[in-house]
Amino acid sequence: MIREIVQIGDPVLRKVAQPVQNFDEELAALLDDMKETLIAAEGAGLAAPQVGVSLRVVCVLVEEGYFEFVNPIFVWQKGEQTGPEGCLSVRGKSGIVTRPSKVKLLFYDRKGERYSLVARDFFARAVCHELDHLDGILYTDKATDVRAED
Amino acid sequence: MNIFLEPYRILKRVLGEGAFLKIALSEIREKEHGRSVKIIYGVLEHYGEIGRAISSAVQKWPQFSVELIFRIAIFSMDFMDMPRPIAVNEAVNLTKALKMDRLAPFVNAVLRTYDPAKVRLPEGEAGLCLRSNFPLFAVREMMGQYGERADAILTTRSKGLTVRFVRGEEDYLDRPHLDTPFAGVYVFEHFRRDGRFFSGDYTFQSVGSVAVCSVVEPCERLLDACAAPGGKSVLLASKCKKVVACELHPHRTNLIGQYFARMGVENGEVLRADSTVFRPEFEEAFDGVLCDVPCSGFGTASENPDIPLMKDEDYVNALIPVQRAILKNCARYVKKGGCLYYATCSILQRENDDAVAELLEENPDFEPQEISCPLSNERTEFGLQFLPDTAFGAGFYVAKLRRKA
Repeated sequence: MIREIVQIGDPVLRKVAQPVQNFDEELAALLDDMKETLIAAEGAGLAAPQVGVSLRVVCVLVEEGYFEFVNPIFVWQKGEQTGPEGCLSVRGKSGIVTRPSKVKLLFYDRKGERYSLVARDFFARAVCHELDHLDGILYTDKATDVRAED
Repeated sequence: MNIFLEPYRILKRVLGEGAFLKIALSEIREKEHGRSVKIIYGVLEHYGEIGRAISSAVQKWPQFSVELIFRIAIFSMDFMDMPRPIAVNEAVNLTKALKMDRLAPFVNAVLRTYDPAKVRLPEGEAGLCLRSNFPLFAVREMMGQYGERADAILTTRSKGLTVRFVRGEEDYLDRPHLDTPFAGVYVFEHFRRDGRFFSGDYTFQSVGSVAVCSVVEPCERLLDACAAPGGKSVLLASKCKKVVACELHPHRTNLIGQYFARMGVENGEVLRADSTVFRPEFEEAFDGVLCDVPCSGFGTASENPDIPLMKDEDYVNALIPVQRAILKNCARYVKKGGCLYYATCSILQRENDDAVAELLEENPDFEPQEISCPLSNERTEFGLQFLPDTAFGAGFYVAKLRRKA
């Protein structure tokens, strides 16, 4: 089921999201819906707070693949990249953000199994953007030159 | 739930077990099944092209389950614009869910490196076979008969669902639809049946079926010799005083009774009978007899993309003696001066004009009648051929013969 993507101004986007405790059917349903919502919105990533659920769950859709991260944390962040970014919760705008160019993550999948992964370049940017959502941070807080897209 | 699971299950029933698509689709378990239905139809409609796509991406042809996963994933990427990472993810997860874990890396590797630009489709009749899924003999026949138009005839896709209203159509016409040449008959892009289906306000009936009925003259007693599921009998009951609906198979006979009840038909009688076997009490007992014989269904490919794919020339040829036997036997039921109608949902001459020609040769009692129909058609030697590209996807045939008084 496609869920509604909440927009900037909604308090849920500013809350620090809670870790997932139960790897159950409810989590699976949330992830299925987030996948549907992300495909329909043609985005590169989506965090649970963006569909109004304050949990540490994100999904990312990039060239490297489609990923679901539950309770993700950074192990390390390296390098720097500066480039344009947008957000499904800040419709119609984009801005320039500086991010790490390489990050290592620890996370769980929907079944509760633990994994680690290294993301580079745009993938790293998407991961950082989505993980910020889990701490109530929007890219507009970090961006320079936020402007309306043509 | 895995996006590909339901398409996989249903397609396995059709392609693996030979179930009819329409029947397999009724077994779908999802509540919101719009995308699954789209994938299922699409995989069948583009079967040949997707087969080529798989060949371009693998060294060795995969086992059936994996082939099916490839077909679904490639259709989703190439024809539904599903992002490749999602398609790959769903395909790999489905492979694992089906307990084929050791094949998951193979599925992953093939789908990640698959390049649609490398797929080459042949030209000419082989190309049309691949794009239409029709067997070569049918492609050749259509090319011989209609030349370049064969492509359009064989590759026409469904425009939607045809709905025939008895009443209340005004409440539905604000939705996107196409008008047909028949009053109360429309093709809807999307139409979900509601309570008014059960009160007989409308029914689903091919525009080809309505066209066949339109050439039947109103009369006193009409026999519909191969009536199930009953759509034509129901429609004809509104213009004939009495309709006798015959059907060979008991479970299909029940369908006609239910159809009559739903549409409030009171002048119809259902009979389980073999129309190839002579019934003395029917001899010259009907003013009109409709033989809508069992046929290849090749004229319904836009609705049933599984049919051209799953049915070969032997299957079609095996039907021909049955068609001839029904027509020959039922001709005896027509009163002098009455009419015999022969109809199919086929585009093949051997099932259509050839059957009428044989009857006329054996039966000098009958004369072909010139008929016309508002639905676009090609006049053949004895009847009208509706073709999918100009008749809303319906490739039907009908001929009318009068028994000399």
